[in-house]
Order: sequence, then C-alpha cells, then structure tokens
Amino acid sequence: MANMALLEIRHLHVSVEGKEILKGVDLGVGEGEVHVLFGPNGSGKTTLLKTIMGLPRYRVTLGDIIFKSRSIKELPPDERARLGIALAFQNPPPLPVKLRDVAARVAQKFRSDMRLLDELNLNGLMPRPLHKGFSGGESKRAELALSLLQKPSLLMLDEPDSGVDVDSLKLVAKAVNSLIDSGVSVLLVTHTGHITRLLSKVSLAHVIMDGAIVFDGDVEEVLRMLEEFGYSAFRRR
Amino acid sequence: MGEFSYRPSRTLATYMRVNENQVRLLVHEHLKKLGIVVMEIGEALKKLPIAREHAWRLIAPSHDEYVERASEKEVGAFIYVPPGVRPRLPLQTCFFVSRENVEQAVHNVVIIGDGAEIVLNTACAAAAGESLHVGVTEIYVGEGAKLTYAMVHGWTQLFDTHPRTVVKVCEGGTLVMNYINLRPVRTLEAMPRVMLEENSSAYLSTILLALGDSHLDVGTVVEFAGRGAKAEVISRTVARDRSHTIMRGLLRALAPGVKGHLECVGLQLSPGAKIEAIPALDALVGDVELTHEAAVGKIAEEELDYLMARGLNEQEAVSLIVRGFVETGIEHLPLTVRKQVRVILDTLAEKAVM
Repeated sequence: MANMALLEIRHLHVSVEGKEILKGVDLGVGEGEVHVLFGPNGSGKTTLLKTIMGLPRYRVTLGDIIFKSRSIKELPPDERARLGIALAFQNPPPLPVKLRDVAARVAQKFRSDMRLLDELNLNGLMPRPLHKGFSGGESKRAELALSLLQKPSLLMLDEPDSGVDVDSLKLVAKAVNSLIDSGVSVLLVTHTGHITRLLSKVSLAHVIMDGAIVFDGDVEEVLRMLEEFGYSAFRRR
Repeated sequence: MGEFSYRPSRTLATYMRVNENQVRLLVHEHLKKLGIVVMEIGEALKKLPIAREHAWRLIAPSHDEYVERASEKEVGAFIYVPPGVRPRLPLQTCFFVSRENVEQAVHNVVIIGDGAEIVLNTACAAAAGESLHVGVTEIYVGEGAKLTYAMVHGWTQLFDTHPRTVVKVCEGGTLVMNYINLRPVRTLEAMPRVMLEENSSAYLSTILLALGDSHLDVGTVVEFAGRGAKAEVISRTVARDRSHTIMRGLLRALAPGVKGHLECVGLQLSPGAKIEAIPALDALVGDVELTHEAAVGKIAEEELDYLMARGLNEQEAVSLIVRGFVETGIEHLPLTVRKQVRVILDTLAEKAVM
C-alpha cells in the first residue's frame, strides 16, 4: 500500500449473539484512499462497518482494529467517532428527536458548521424526527449530513445506493466526492455497485463472501465480473 | 434558582406572592389603559361585582379539604381582561415559598372577556423545607376568546402541592395550557378540569420530570359540553430514581359531534421509577370521536448506540432523546412563550441525566 494505513483490520473475527459472522477479515485503508467493499446479502458487510464503529452487539472474538496506529477494539463508539470515524448507517433507527436538534448537537460536539449541509437539500427534513417515516433517499442524505458534521478522517458508508432515487444518489455522490477531494478516506459498502461509477476515484475494490474477503482488485473488474456472473464468480474456494 | 430564567423580558403585569402574605404587584402603565385588572382577590371580591359573580362558581369551597383551606384565607390573584383586548405582552403570576412550615393556600380567579386574547405565565417554586402549596384557580375563557396558560413548577423533596384548576371555555373559545414540572416534590396531586362549550377547543400538554422520591399523580379531565368541541390532551413523563408517577386523563363527551384525543406516554430512565398510565374515555352520547394512546417504556438501546456512534457519550445521548421526547405541543404556543418554554425543556433534559 502506497499510503500509510489509516485503518488496519487484522484477521478480524466477529460474533453477533453467539453466531460468528466475520471469519478472519484483513483489510487496510490508507490515508486519502477510497475502498469499495462488494458482497451479497448476509456476507458480513454491515457487520464489518458496525464493528469498526464499535456498536456493542458486535463482539470481536479474535484479531484487532488499528486506527491511527492504535488499537481501538476496546473503545466505545463515541470515542471512535471522536477519533475521526463516521458511519452513515444503512438502516438507522427512527429517533424521537428532530434532525435539526441531532445535527446541532453533533455540530456542537465536533465544532463544525451547519452550513456544511447546505448542498444536501435538507431544509424540509430538519423539523422532522430523524428517520421517522423518511424515504430511502431522505435517510441516506440525513445520514451523510450527520457524518459530514463529524468531520471524519474515515467515512464509512453502508449501502448509500440501496433504495435511493436517482437525484438523492447524485447528491450523495457529490457530497462524498467533495470529501474524497479533501483527502478523507472512504470505506464504502455496496451490494449493486451503482454508486461506484459516480465516485471521483476508487483506490481498491474488495469482495466479501461468507465473512471473509475473497478478492481485492480493480473496481471495474469487479463490476464486470458481477454483471457477467453475479457473486457466484467470487465463490469462496 | 437558575432554571427559573422563566421571566419574559417584559410583562404587562407581574403578581408575585412570597410565602403566606407578602405580595408584590408590578403593573405596566399600559395595562390600565387597556382596562385589564390585576389585583389581590380579597380586594377584588370587595370592590368588583364581576369578581363576586365569578368566584366559587366553577368549584365549591367544600370540594375537598385543600379547597376549603384556600377558601378560608381568600388570598391570591384576580385577573380580568376586558372583551376584545389582545395585548402582545403576557401577564405573569408567581407563587414562591422561601422557608419551612408555610401553608400557601391561594385562590385565583381569571376572567378573559369575549374575543380577548392573553398569555398568562405562572411559576410556582419553593426554595426550602417542608411546606404546602394549594392553588385553587378558576378560569373563564369568554366566547371566541383565547387563553394561553404556561405553568412551571419547581418544588423541593419535602413539599406537598395540590393545585385545583377548573377552566370553562365558552363558545368558540380556545385554551392552550402547557404545564411543566421540573424538580423533585414529595407529592404533587393535580387533576385540572376543563369544560368545553360549543365549538371551543383546547390543547393541553403536561410534561413531568419525576425525580428522587417524588410522588406525582397528575391528570386532566376534559368535559365536552357543547357540539363541535375539540381537545387534544398530551402527557409526557420522564421518570427516574424511585419516583412514582400516575398519569391520568379522562375525556368525557356530553354532547354529540365532539372530538378528543388523549395521550399518556412515559419514559423510564431508572429501573426503580414507576409509571402508571390511566387514560379513560366516557362517551355518554352518540356521534363522538374519542381516542387514546398510552405507552410506557425505556429508551431503546438501538437509539443510544446510534447517537453514541455520532460522537455523543451515553449521558448526552439520553439527554438528547429526553429533549426530543418532551418537545410536544410547542407549535401551539405563541412565539413569545415558545422561546422560554424551549429553554425550560432544555433545562429539563439536562436535569434528567444529572
């Protein structure tokens, strides 16, 4: 890897409610790099992101997560967020708090400017309880907005292109691109790959199957294989 | 007393009673020009026929022992707003107990003339010790009139309080009542009663923070006495420690064509905090629409985890969720009051996790 690793996943095993989901994942994301992780449903994509974020249901049984040269395996999610990791959830829970109030609190915490959100077309959503009755596209935009306010050095996006209208996808891609251009590292998870062609760059693509990464390579190559053969092309050997 | 930054920067009049007998009355010059009367109830009963015509008509002195105590003393505020008067500034009353062994039993009468519109802010607070507050309040909202009544209570753990409020809303009138309890109290027992005449409407919200060993038994009774009357009654309780809260509510339809909704929702922040939600509906005639909703529970772990992933620690996450939970009915309040209520709710959300 050319750049110094910002995030290093070392032989990670993760269990959720006693069931092993990740079975030895190795992955490195360098500074300013954009990684796209492909995988079929249930392969462990979301589990990997939530484990990196430190959500309590995701138990690391083996291996380590190194971020900015230190193990973060034992840290609670808020400390990981403050170290510079942000996750835009795929299915965030509805909250009894207005988007505006959550955004203001996050902005205060990270000393960021609410104007960061101007381009995401959120005005109509601001007075609504976060994610309550939001459409797919609205949820993705709100998730990206809150992630932006965290001024992350690593932005993780969980299926930003699933269940999204074309306009929202373009808005999301544009905002992600401006982060990429400013040097933020990105780890993006996708099932379909729809968003990848809208990104200004992709450093490396990975395919995860049944809890382990089975392929690393060029994103165009992965897309081509998926279009031709589907995920069976990457079946774990 | 930091949380009682609940003074509008300007008011039309402030009636303040400290303990049993000290009264301070600050009246804006403008008030007299408008014909608004704010005076001691004893004096009003002597001087003003309208006071005598309205006192003890909505509640009888024999109602219970607390009302009886207030009727014996006959101290409190008398407020009269003439028909059609709509001042921009609010009126304010304040009842404060500064020392122990005080029995503050007051009787207030508020008359809002036909077509008038007024905001009334009331703060009741205690600084120390074992004492009792009884507030009997009779309120008349005239035809087509509107009263916005915002109340904040902040007592102490040894305090007993038994407010008795009865409101009559005449044809086409509107009542917006917003009640907030912020601090621990030994007992708070209140069941305000609102009578709605034809085509009148009410929006009543009660927000309780139950802390320490507080025992709160609070509810609202709405009687729909006239066709077309509408009401929405919302209660939210945030309970902690060993507190015990009973959220009651009763919608009683006495006339057809009325519509009412009652909501009692409780949030438990400690396993030892008890909440009972007892909503009730009485449809005594046909052709009515009464609904209720009740729920009690703790904050979902998923919500906390989510906010922690956004960089908030657990306490901050709980506080933010509490703040969202109590944000109810703000849109019914006039702009002048909204800002102050928001500040109070911010304080409530902070105190809920302190």
